[in-house]
Amino acid sequence: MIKFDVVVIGGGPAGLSAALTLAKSGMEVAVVEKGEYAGSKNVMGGVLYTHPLLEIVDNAVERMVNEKAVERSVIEQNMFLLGNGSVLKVGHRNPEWKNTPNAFTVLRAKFDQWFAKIVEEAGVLIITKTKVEDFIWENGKIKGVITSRPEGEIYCKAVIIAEGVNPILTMKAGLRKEDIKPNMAAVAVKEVIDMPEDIINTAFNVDSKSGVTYEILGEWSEGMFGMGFLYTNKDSISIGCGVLIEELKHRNIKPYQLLDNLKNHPIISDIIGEYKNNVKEYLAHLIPEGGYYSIPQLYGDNVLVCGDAAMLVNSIHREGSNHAITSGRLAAETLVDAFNKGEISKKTLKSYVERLKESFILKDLEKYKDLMPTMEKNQHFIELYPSLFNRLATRFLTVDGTPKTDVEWQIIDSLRNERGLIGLGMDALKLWKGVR
Amino acid sequence: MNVVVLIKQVPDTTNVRIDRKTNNLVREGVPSVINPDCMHALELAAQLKEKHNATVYVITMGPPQAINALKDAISFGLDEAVLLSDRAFAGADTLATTYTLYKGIKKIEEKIGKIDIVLAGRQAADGDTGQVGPGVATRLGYSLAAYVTSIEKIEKDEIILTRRLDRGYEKVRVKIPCVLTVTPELNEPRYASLPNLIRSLRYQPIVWNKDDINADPKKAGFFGSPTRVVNTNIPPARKGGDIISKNESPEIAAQKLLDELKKFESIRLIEGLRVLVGDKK
Repeated sequence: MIKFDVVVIGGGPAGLSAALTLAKSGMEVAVVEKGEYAGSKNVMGGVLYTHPLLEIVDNAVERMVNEKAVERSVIEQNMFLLGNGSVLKVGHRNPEWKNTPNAFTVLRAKFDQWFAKIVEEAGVLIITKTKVEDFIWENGKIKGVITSRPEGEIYCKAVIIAEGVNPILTMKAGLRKEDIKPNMAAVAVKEVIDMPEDIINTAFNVDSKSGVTYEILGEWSEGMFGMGFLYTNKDSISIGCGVLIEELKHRNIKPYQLLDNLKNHPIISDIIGEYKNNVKEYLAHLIPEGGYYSIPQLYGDNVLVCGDAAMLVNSIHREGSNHAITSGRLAAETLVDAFNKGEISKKTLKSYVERLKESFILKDLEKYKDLMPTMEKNQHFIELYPSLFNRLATRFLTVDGTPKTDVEWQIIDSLRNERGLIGLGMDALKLWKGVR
Repeated sequence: MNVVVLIKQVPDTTNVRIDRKTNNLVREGVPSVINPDCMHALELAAQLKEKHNATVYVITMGPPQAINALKDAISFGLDEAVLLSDRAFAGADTLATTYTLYKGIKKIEEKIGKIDIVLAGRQAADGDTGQVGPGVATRLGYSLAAYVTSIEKIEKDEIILTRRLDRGYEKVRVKIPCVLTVTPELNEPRYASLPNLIRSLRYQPIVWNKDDINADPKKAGFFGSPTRVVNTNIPPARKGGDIISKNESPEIAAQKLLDELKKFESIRLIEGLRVLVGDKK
């Protein structure tokens, strides 16, 4: 009979972080990963924040850089509002981020394998190419997992579910009644495009260690609420976009069409230029974007849920992997406490939710809990404003002999005509309510 | 019964690309796997272990990374795995490779006694020569059956099996001790059981260098290899087929196809022969 203290389902950032934290407390941990290796099935846009790793890996930043787990340290972040052929940008660049990296661009296949190596060094057994299909139940409590392998039962004292966005086992564990709905997840598609290192350095005005991010709203999304992005890797760029499944279904648009829109927009096309067709990889994945209201029950007897499986993603700020790593750690710490108390039950595991509430994770998700619904209900936010703001910027910045007072009145007039001042006021209020 | 399986670690061919400028394989970032044909040799070895209580050693020659292939091989439930790794083995052609493997097998023999059966895959996905199995058989002085597609019976001193020829199959008796190189038709490699998989993840293969196996550096690796790669070519990209009918009714499409086919002499010949054999209706 195969026995471990804890079985972690899924070798993504959440699962690996949980396993590492448990192993450091001396527990026998097995991670069961269905992919060929940790990270083989994982996709994200490509920005990884450093703070959650610092908590669990010694010298995390130095190791990541030296062992080439990450691409470039992000020193400049931009928000693009794409209009019809034009762009309005807001950005921030701080070279200080070179010394104390805040975030790195990453390619997940590389980063996850690096993370998995660290976790294995800590004594965790990572079992790949193996799928957890169900749980072993005894007296209404989970006593282990049944894998896809012959003689595949693993007995354990507790299970951490970090299975990712498809909540198959979360449902089997009784922690979620229904599968996620089309309005709870976005399809994100992404291309990794080969671009020589020195060309990236010149085009984005950075050195080989530093990188730039663009978040892109507007024209490309055909009025749907979605975020596009362009990130610089070492010698490639990641470009992609994500839109709620429900909207794609409703509008009958394929995700790759949106990515084509984005790549073919004159502004973006100018940036990537002739490299547009050097696609090295094409990736797609579901991103849980249901936010606060879609979070399942996070604990049960002998079981905890973390990462995407717990829907812990802040889609507004493109943050997911940091929630995953942190929630994995918090789940593990909750378990360690429960082991020390000698009682693993709903009662002792309940503090996981308290820990999440005290952390940025649930605070942030709660803050934005109504923003997505507001955006969905108010399509004009995306349909109108990016192009309107672009036109206003053009008007404001075009010098053609019109006196400035007249320009200001023209701007106020177009605002009046296109949205109405009351409408504008209402929108501002809605937006403020959404992020308050 | 003592069995040794020869395996090779190759780049995962589903991921391999060729650099059109240098004509070399782009190996960077391409994961390595056990050569697909070797998987069938491992499966056969696992069956010999189960049915004939064989002691099975897996052996490979390669850089330290080849340890991963050996660990994977152990997940078939086999006994031990040996890596022959030494700078002196590098740059080997098939002649030098068979020498090193032969020395390795001899060393295994010192540990467990006479080796009865040596198994190998038909050929490697990267080199495609199919020479190493037969070469090892020659060095060992064992009988050889290459391209084995099925095994009928294993007796005390012989094996009755079928092997593939260019056209058709051949059923033969092979005297033990022997070397068999196997084809994918032979069996379906297993999905390892969880206990075997876990054992393989924790298993550390035995590593032997040139001194451990008492190998003569002049016969191994680059210095033992008369083969030189002078040039490599990639076949030109195949040109796509002609589309003779598009969006037309099945009748018209069929007629057009027939007309095209009749341009081939061999088809016309069959047409002519029909007069002799008569139409079967």
